[in-house]
Amino acid sequence: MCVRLLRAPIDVGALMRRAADPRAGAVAVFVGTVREGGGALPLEALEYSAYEEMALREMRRLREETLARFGACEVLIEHRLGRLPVGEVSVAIVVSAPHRDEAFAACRHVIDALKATVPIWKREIWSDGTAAWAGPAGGE
Amino acid sequence: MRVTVRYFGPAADDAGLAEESVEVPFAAALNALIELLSANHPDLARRRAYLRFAVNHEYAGEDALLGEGDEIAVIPPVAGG
Repeated sequence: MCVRLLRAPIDVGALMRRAADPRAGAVAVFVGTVREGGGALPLEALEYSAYEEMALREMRRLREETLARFGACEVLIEHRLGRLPVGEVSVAIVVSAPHRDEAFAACRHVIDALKATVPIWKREIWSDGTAAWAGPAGGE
Repeated sequence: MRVTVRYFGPAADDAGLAEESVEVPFAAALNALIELLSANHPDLARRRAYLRFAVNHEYAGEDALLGEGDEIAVIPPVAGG
């Protein structure tokens, strides 16, 4: 599976091994992690949820488009769902390509496009137990 | 005809449910369904400007024509990554 939603820790090393290709001189990796944020209270966790059937479809399409547009050898995308404490890996994108220019550019493109189009949401959960949806109009 | 509407993220909180079956006129467009949902869920109507919609797992414009059994998703601003 080249794109995945999962409820277990993401194995970035395994993704890098899977993306390896004799034609690739570069492997670019993006890892998104849960950060404590700048709120008045410490963030306890982010809780991710998704419209899974459509998210996978969008991720597959994004992979196909990225492979074609940047001449990448492989594009792997994994996003975790469920409750993640600060420091956990929420998303990993691994791109292998002949040269570093394409690898970096493709990797950047995938995370930017994922954040714009893939139907995944997150709720911020703070240390006092209150929670609000992240994003514009969240928590109204 | 009957369609299924699914709500996600803060839209599910606004609507007070995750999914419902809705009756719409034959050959209705998505905007007719949106008007109906806004009337039934006032909290959702307030978010109207932020919402996108999908029909059968594809983003759709408001002029998209609906079919019997379609799955329409109410998609608030996405926040993956």
